[in-house]
Amino acid sequence: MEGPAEKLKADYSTPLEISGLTVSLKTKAWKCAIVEDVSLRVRSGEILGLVGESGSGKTVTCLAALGLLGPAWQTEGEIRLARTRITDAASASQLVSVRGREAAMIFQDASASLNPIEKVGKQLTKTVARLRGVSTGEAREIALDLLRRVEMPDPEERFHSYPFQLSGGQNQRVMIAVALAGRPELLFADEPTTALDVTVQSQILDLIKSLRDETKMGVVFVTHDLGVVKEVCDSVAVLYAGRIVESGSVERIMNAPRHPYTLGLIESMPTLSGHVPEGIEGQVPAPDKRPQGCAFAPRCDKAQERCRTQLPLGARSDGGDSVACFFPLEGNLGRTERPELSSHSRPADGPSTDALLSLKDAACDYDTRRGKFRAVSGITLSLNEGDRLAVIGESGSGKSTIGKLMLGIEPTSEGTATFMGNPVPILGTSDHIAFARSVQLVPQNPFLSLDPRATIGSQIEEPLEIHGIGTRQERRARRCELLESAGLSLDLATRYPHEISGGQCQRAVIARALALRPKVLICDEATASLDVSVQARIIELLRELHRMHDLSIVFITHDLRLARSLCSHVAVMRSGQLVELGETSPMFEAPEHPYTSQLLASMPDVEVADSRTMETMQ
Amino acid sequence: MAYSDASSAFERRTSTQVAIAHFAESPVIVKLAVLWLVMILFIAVTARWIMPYDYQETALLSRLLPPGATGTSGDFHLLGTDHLGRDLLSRLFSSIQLTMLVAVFGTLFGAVVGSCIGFVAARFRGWVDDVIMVLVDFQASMPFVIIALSVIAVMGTGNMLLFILLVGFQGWERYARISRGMTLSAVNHGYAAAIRLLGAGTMRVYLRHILPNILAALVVQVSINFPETVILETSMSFLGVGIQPPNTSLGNLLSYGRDYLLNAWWIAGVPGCTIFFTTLSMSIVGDWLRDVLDPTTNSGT
Repeated sequence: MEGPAEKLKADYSTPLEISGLTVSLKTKAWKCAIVEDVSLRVRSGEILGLVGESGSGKTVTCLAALGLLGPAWQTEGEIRLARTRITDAASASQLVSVRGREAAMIFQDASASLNPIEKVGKQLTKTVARLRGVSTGEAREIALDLLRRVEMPDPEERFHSYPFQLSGGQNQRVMIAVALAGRPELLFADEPTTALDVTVQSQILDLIKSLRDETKMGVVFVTHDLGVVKEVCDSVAVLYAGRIVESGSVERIMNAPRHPYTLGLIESMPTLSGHVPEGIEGQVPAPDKRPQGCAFAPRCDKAQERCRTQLPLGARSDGGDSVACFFPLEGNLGRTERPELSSHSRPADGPSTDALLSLKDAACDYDTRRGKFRAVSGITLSLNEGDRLAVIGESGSGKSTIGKLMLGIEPTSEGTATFMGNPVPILGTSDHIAFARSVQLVPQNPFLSLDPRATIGSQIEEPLEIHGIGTRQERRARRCELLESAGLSLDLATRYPHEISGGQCQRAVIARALALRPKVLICDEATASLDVSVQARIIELLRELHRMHDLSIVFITHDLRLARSLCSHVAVMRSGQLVELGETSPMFEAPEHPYTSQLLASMPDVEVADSRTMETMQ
Repeated sequence: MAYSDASSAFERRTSTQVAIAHFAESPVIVKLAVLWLVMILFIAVTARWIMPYDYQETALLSRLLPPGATGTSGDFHLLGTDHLGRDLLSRLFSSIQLTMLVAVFGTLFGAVVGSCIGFVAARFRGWVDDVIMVLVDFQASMPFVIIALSVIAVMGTGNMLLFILLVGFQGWERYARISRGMTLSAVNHGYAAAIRLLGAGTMRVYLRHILPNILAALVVQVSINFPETVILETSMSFLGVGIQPPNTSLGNLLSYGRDYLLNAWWIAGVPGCTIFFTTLSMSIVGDWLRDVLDPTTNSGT
């Protein structure tokens, strides 16, 4: 029996075994390897973290294991999923018998993965009936039971809800229930919590862990967040440019990484205890431009001649420690503490005469079809010159609205927003043009905030042109200055946004915002769409700009770790209310409001949680 | 989702090189269509100099000569003559010139006016937007020929400028819809908001940033609208309310030729074929342009 998806002898202890997997994307003209020589093993009851930045091949590896790649892809090497061998030649019907029963997958955006026009209970029931071959009535019972097992609040009621009526976390629970419907031996979780708020994320992570304990299934957990890895995984495989560069137990990797890339990733993570992230120089090479030797060599400060010409032996993730490096690092991770930025110690909420930007009892209403919706209310805070204020909160907490009030995009419905003693002018009025020179925004998505059809250089120059500053030559000179201070090379000026990377785009946006020498920079989730190593370097850039230009920064984020590493003051938002405001370190060490401590406790961290935070959790 | 920080080195090519490369890869039929249009355009520009005879000169002795015949005075008529003995080739050239004049300027006028109306709707929203969109719906539900005929009936025939504007107005509602819709999405896209936050005025945001980004869609719409304008012009002239003698357009030619279809087919046949091939070429090129300019099928600049 030599079928392409032949049944193998049952091997319950290792539901997934991949060896020498190479996945290539090919067209008529060219072929390009996305994943090269990957070997993995997942045992029952083990959670394997597959870590890497975007483009490292994490998702492709999972899709290949489930035979979900399209006809343009070619896989070589061996994949064994529970009792089935997956090959390119496996027919659709053979794969259907595998998917759901032997392995299931959950995705990042659960709301998009569920059928929007069918009640979740019905979707779940259908899947159960199909995978377990039971009658609809029985399947209904099992489906309800599954909803209870994924700890869905009011399962009977939610059973009759449509996906849009549920929150993101509840949808992810439904998705997990669907994945469990066929009692799989292996679960692929592709960034299942990336789109969720931290408190919800920690609930979902707990759920995955407890389900693993209950069912003894193996889990492949794909993520880019090392904090999450530390929280949930037993072992880790670090992917870089399509190859596993290091693998081992989670404790060993986090405490004593041996590959320079792993170390770089860990160093890039901001922590709750205030570690200032250090990024990794350079960029991930594109799949068709990977260097001949070690792919990380061009970015590695320990690289020697050998690294550039020879490929180190590939690391395998099969339980033991393994590293693909000629000169692996020794010893434990030593944190290099960096000096904290100076901060004027003063009460952040107190009335201060020199407040640059302040909100007083500010409220903001949005018009909706059902009348007015109050996004924030009773906000009193102020930003002094040189302050770095973090506004943190979960989605819907009104943190972005604060940014809009400060920028004059939205008028205050109650209270006042003032800038240097004068009310903040509303966007579109003539006063706002002058105001725009002092307060600038760095939005979340750099690709969306740059005009796709204008060169980077002309966009950086544009604010100067708008405000009629300088002659053409002076503007040209200022443009070079700005590119340099944002850490961009001058030849990028003639490029278009789609020709440069996300990190470079965000730098260009920052350069454009700085063109007018503003006093305040408002960063609305400015690094949320970037990879960690890139995010770390943007944070570094912001810190440097703060130092050099005495810039005041309002940093709106959901990531408390970033707030800790960058900001002097923190404002915590919850459903439109300001719950806590104060200086960063005291608040992180001893939060006063229970919500703040809850947030702190939910935040996955690469370092051991502070014992004090643990206490206040109770 | 996190964006890759990997930027592959791009080969820098100027837009002209890209356009030529696209054209070289296009199917044969597109090349033929472009060739035909280039020829028509050449004729339209140079008609005055390349027409062999005066297009108004009658010669009653050489009436209704078939293509390739030689008249009594020894004149050679490549496409024959009409019922008044006028050289059909010269009349064809002159007609192409006038038809193209009406179509090109009319289409451009319609495109500019329609897009501006769309911009206005998107900029002001509220009741302005509502009123404009109702007008657009109103226009879309009414055959334009009827409107054009009633305007001509009131204003009288013979006013060339009015006729060009009237014909060009055809299809304005589609430009308005496209520019309004795309402007709204561009505003939500973020770059427009970002530039406004830098202190830029409405004109800068709309003309310098949004217009270049939606131009591709408008160009495609122009290429679709153009043949319709040609058809509208010819049908109006055919009905006798368009271009008035002594000027002549393809529609006029067709209309005169109708009476002689049985014994002199070429009088109607030649302009008929010209209209057919020109509009067909235009549609083919338009379809091709839509594929080439569509950002979802073509990621490079």
